Amino acid sequence: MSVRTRDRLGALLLLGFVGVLWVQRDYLTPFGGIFPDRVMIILAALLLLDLVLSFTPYASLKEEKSEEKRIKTYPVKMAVVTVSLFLWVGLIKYFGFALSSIVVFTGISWYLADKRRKIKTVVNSILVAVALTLLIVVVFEKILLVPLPKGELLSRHL
Amino acid sequence: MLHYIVEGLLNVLTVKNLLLVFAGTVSGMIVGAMPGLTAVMALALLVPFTYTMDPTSGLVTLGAVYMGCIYGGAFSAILINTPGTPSSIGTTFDGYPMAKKGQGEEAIITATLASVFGGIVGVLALIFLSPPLAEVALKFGPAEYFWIGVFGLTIVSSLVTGSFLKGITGAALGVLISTIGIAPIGGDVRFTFGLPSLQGGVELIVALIGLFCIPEVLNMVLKDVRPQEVVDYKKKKGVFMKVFKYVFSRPGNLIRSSIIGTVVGILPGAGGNIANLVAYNEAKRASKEPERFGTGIPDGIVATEAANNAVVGGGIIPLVTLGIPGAPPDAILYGVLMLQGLRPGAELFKERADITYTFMISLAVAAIVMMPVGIFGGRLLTRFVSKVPTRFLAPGIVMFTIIGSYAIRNNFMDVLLMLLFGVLGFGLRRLGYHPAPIVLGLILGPIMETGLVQAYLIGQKYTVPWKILFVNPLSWVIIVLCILSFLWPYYGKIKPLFQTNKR
Repeated sequence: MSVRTRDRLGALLLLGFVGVLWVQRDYLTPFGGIFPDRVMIILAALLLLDLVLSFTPYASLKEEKSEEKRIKTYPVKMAVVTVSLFLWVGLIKYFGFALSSIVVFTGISWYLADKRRKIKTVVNSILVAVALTLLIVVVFEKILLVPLPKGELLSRHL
Repeated sequence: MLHYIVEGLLNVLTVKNLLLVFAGTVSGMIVGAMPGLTAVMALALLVPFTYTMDPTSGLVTLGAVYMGCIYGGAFSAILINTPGTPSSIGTTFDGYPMAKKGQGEEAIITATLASVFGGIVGVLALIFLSPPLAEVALKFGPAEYFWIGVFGLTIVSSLVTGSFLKGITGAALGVLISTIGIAPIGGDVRFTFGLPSLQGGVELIVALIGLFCIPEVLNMVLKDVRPQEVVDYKKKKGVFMKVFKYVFSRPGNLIRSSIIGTVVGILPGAGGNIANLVAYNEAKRASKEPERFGTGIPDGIVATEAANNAVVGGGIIPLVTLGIPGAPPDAILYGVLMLQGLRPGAELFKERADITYTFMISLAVAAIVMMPVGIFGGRLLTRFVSKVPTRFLAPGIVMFTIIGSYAIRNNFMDVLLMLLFGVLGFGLRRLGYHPAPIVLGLILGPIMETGLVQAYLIGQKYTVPWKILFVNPLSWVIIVLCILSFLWPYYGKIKPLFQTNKR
């Protein structure tokens, strides 16, 4: 993505966010809006400035200065992992921390491995997931007494 | 003050706290030695371990983690040529060439001695500068607190990111997000999208874990980070004394770099990532042989490692005096103080001086503990952590982020919010917005709002209530600082033009 496109996209997205909050303004006292209203106005002004600058020769200068190294990236892998993280959080709600962590950890570590078809890779992924989850459950729940998420389904049936 | 120092020392020297300092230092070193994992991340990941601890033990542990992590970054910088944390970028310049020349042990010992020295100088500054600064801070009224917030935002915007506009925009975004929930004055419920779980506002630790940890995990996957080769070395006899004599025979570099680290740490938002490069540059400028820098000489390592560890103590000075984090990892300490029911700021010295001094002394003890752990276990540790593949590291980090965000309030919504903040942080970073100004905005937002609205109420006696923001001379001192920090990045750009004209 070029610096110009990046700046425009960023400014527009954040302007949208400011707009959503601006529409929600519904203060009951005269003090509620003193600060956020001014922050929103300043933020919108800064974003507009960024947007305007992206159309000027200043942006080309920034483009030349940008020396970001072109390294190979794996956006599909990243997208799959991002979706898995949301799935992980969703599963935790129903199955609790331990079970969902073993499942999703195994899935992610298997997916990110180089030799996915090898049995050894699958076994390694499962072993590490189970061992790490058990260690965390013992350390946090049993020793440090820090509560871990309990699943709605499991706690209802157990 | 002396009796508090003695009391703090006695508190730290209990078996329990010494064990916590040791465990914290080692844990910090492990995370710090892993390339790509920062000190903020180390603190964010290890925060859940302290949830059930008392405030003193929790702070002692996290302080040791912070100190250990900054030092741990030097191992991978020297032995892998990849800085473990951004605070050790400068250490690669001379550390790796030394390791390649077969002087890995010398480089590690140099880094250790400089880190211990820098760490202790930072802590001494923290112990002796904080109380008088806290006295000044106690004179601050609402208007001054508002301006201090503005100062923090302008300085982080100019120092942390490449673009001032992007930095200040990110900071304003953080401030705006901080207004979600119940207003500190008036009690209005704002911007909750009708969700009751947002009424309490955005939980700071949740946002910090999300913004600092998840983007790193996604970056790791996106760039497919691979385990790297470690340059090995054999232990030789008499090296420690040889390096010790060399390092301390040139105290100028050590002292100058430690002072640079402390001062950079004090500036709100700026941390070891800036201090190590500034110190390296200054050491090179002051050296009689600047051309040897970068070829593998100990002086380069001394400069960067003394500076980055001095940042630890320096960064805590604004935290315990003004309630503003000096460096990004201090933002996590800010959140932990709040969680433990302690209000960061000058009142800490009045209300909980026992905890404050114990915490400060524990940092110095952590700096000393680093020496044996680093010298005897550093090489082994680096070989171990450098072999952990991304496929296990990435989901492993996520596990800790889930525990850290859930266990604060036992609220499932916080886990989801943490993940959303993480994805948002990743996206914003790709769009050029650094997380540090956003986080500082989140922290300073409530301080600024309370200051502004309270000042407005007090200012009702004037025809124009906002006049109250400009009547106190203390306010003017901070306003001038704001203007200077605002103009600083532009001065940096204009200065070369003046020099060209002169020539």
